[in-house]
Amino acid sequence: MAGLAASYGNPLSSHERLRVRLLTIGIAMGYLSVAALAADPDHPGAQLASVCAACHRLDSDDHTAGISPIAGIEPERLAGMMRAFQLDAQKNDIMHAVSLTLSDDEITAVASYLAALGKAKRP
Amino acid sequence: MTRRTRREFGIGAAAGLAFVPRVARGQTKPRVIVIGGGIGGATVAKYVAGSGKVDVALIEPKARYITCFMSNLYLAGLRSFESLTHGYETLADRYGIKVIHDFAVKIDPVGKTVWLKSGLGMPYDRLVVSPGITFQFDAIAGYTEAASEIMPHAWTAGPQTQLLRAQLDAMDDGGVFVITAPQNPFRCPPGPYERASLAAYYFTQFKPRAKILILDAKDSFFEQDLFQDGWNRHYPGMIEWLPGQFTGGVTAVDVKANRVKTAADSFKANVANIIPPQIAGSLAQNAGLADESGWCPVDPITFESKRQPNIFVVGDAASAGDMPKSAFCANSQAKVCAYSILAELTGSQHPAPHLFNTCYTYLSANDAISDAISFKPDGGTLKISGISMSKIDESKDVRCETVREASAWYDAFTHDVFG
Repeated sequence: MAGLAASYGNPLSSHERLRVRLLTIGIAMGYLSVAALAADPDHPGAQLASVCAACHRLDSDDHTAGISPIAGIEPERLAGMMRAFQLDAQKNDIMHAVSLTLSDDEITAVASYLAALGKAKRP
Repeated sequence: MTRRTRREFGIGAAAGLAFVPRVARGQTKPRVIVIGGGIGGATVAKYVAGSGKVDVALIEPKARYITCFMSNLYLAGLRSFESLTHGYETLADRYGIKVIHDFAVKIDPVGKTVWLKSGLGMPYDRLVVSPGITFQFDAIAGYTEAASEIMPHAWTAGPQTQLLRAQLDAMDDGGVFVITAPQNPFRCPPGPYERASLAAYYFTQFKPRAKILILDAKDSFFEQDLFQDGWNRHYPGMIEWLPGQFTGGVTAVDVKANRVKTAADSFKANVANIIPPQIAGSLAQNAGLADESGWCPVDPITFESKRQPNIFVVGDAASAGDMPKSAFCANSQAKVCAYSILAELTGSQHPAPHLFNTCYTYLSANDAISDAISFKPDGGTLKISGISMSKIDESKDVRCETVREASAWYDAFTHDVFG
């Protein structure tokens, strides 16, 4: 868990990192559903992740579905994918339009959040 | 306890107690009522309740919701009716939302109370109204609600959709299927043209001599070049589109003679699908939430009504600038609205809204297109900030992959709303 928290980097404060850790533990222990975490308004990445949830199942690892799972991808990799979408490098019209609305800080926040969400499902 | 009438007692009555089940040590949570269990209403209810800090009641007369989106696939025999049908059990069980199957008949914005048909009065701290659309049955002469049982609109999914499917099934080969499309704004701008596409897909297999005639009130429509390219490739000669400047628009129907009349002509229809003009749902009209346009003006950052404080409007009923009336927009608006309400009631953060529309549209069983549009608050309304969409020269593989994406999107999206 320490490694998980350390991997967040900015823009999460120490308070926010603790909050994600506690939520993560809560999920692992079955106290909170993944869906409830996705709705948590107090996490900086949660409101952004709700945008993702309109197309991506955040509780699924099914790589055969027509839309890829995103929860659990390493935050640096996911952030890199989002920045590539901004440049239209991956030729996905929808993700190009979505990614262009995000600031660099927002990309970091949502990538950190989704990574924590995925790890919470696989403690 | 002194004796009170049921109305005076309001939320303290038996049904109301069930609405505030998590009161602990006398601490009452803020109360949010959501009227309308469609995409906008169900999404608001889920995301507000997901905080765990607010008691949420969802008022919806129907026990099941049937999605309009993807219902054209059902008409073409590509999706089951059951697959379009969703219940409210998860919203109640997992999120603790009090789902009340009743009609909201009156809103008292001063007393902050919603009155139900059953007589119950429910007080709220914030109210969300997501009533969808009402059809303007008087806009086309002869097209009454009774006439819609003969010439279905099928623009609210349910029995109307099943009726239209049965009529298409029963139509003879060589028959004419007439679709009328209204002026903007209306629910699902690409919908009439996707319907024509998928009806043509069905006819091509089973009734290859059938014709489809679209009588439009408009002179152009969204993604027109993509649609017409698809029609030429898949169904050459089957679909004819007549713009408003040519017909003068649909003025009347004669259900006994099976005729659809325009300013300039009269057309015989074997099956007629009349999509009438629309305004915000009747509850919004009665509550004074709609303006002279028939739609409900809202603050572009919070979705609070510009006409009534503490009442929010999301979904098709809202007049939200450039945002079209779509399920995706309703869901996107609902999240922004939910986080705005949570910020007011619980002090949580409310950063700049991210609002989108994404649309998957079928041209054929293995040919779908998509678009994504982002919106930003600008000058008191919402304006398009970015747009990208499918292109005409895409390969068959790309279009097939878009069909796969569309199917996965439906699964994820309905899970986001109801799951």
